[in-house]
Amino acid sequence: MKGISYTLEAVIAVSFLLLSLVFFFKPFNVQDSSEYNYKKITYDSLKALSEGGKLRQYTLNNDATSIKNDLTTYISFLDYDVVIYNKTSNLTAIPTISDDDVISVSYFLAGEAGNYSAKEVRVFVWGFD
Amino acid sequence: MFLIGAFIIAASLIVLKLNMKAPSIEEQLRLIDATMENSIASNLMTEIENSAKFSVDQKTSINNDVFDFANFTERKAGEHGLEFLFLFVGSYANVSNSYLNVSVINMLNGPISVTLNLNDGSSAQTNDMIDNTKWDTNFTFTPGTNYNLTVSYNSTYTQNVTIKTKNNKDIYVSFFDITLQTSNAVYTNKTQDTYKLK
Repeated sequence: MKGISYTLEAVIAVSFLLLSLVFFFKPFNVQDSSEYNYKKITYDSLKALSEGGKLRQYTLNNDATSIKNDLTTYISFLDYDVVIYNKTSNLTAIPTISDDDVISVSYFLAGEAGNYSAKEVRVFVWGFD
Repeated sequence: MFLIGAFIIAASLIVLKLNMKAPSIEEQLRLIDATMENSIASNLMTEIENSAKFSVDQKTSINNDVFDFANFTERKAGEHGLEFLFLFVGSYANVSNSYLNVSVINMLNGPISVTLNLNDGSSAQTNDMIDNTKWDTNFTFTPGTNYNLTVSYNSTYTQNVTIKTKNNKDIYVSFFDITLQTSNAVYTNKTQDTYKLK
């Protein structure tokens, strides 16, 4: 009888310990901040393209298509489009987006050596559900 | 015995877990917002300096291009919640006529009284230079001589700009004092660059 009670006690104690360990090692519940993270990823992609020298040339030529193609290397997992603006208006077509969740990221450029030209490259991103 | 020991260990683990904090969503978003702000500020600051650098082939339009991009920066910074404050001094030493043309741009959100002192004793001054304007003035200089231009405004700000002129080449010296700020952070940059012109 004593042996059975000790065994039962041990089983309950071990179960209790195991439950507390499960609770201890359960990961924290963190809400989704993906939109903000995608902003950062998109910005870093534009910066990488700029540091590689291509973004400036494409922007000077109002070549949003080449920018969009080159960004595939970095953000192919998202839906996105690129628009180039000057000081007053868009120089390339603004996309029609049916998704409600859209973010935009801007990168500014003053032209290139020998050719001053104030422009903004804006990337619209959606489809991150 | 087992139960008591297990209870003590379990209670310790639970208390420890409850005192550990996960990064809250607000903290994550604040960190990302701050990182994005920093990135945008850095981008704009780099490009406003580039507006002078990319214009040096057209000597007469450098100051206007900088002014143009400064206005562009102010608008774009505002769209991203950043306040833009800007003081610029551009000095063009023209050896053909020995004129040192100096332009000052005020975008400090208020009028300023500006004094320029060249270390050869000459000076120029403008009172109540209104916000978002450019002031142009001239000094004479001796090609091949080094100068120190002291820029001051409102008796509270002084900055020295070094101008090393050449005997046989025009030079351009740009000085930028840029601030981009939000309620949480201030990003500042002061730089001086010298360009030999063709």
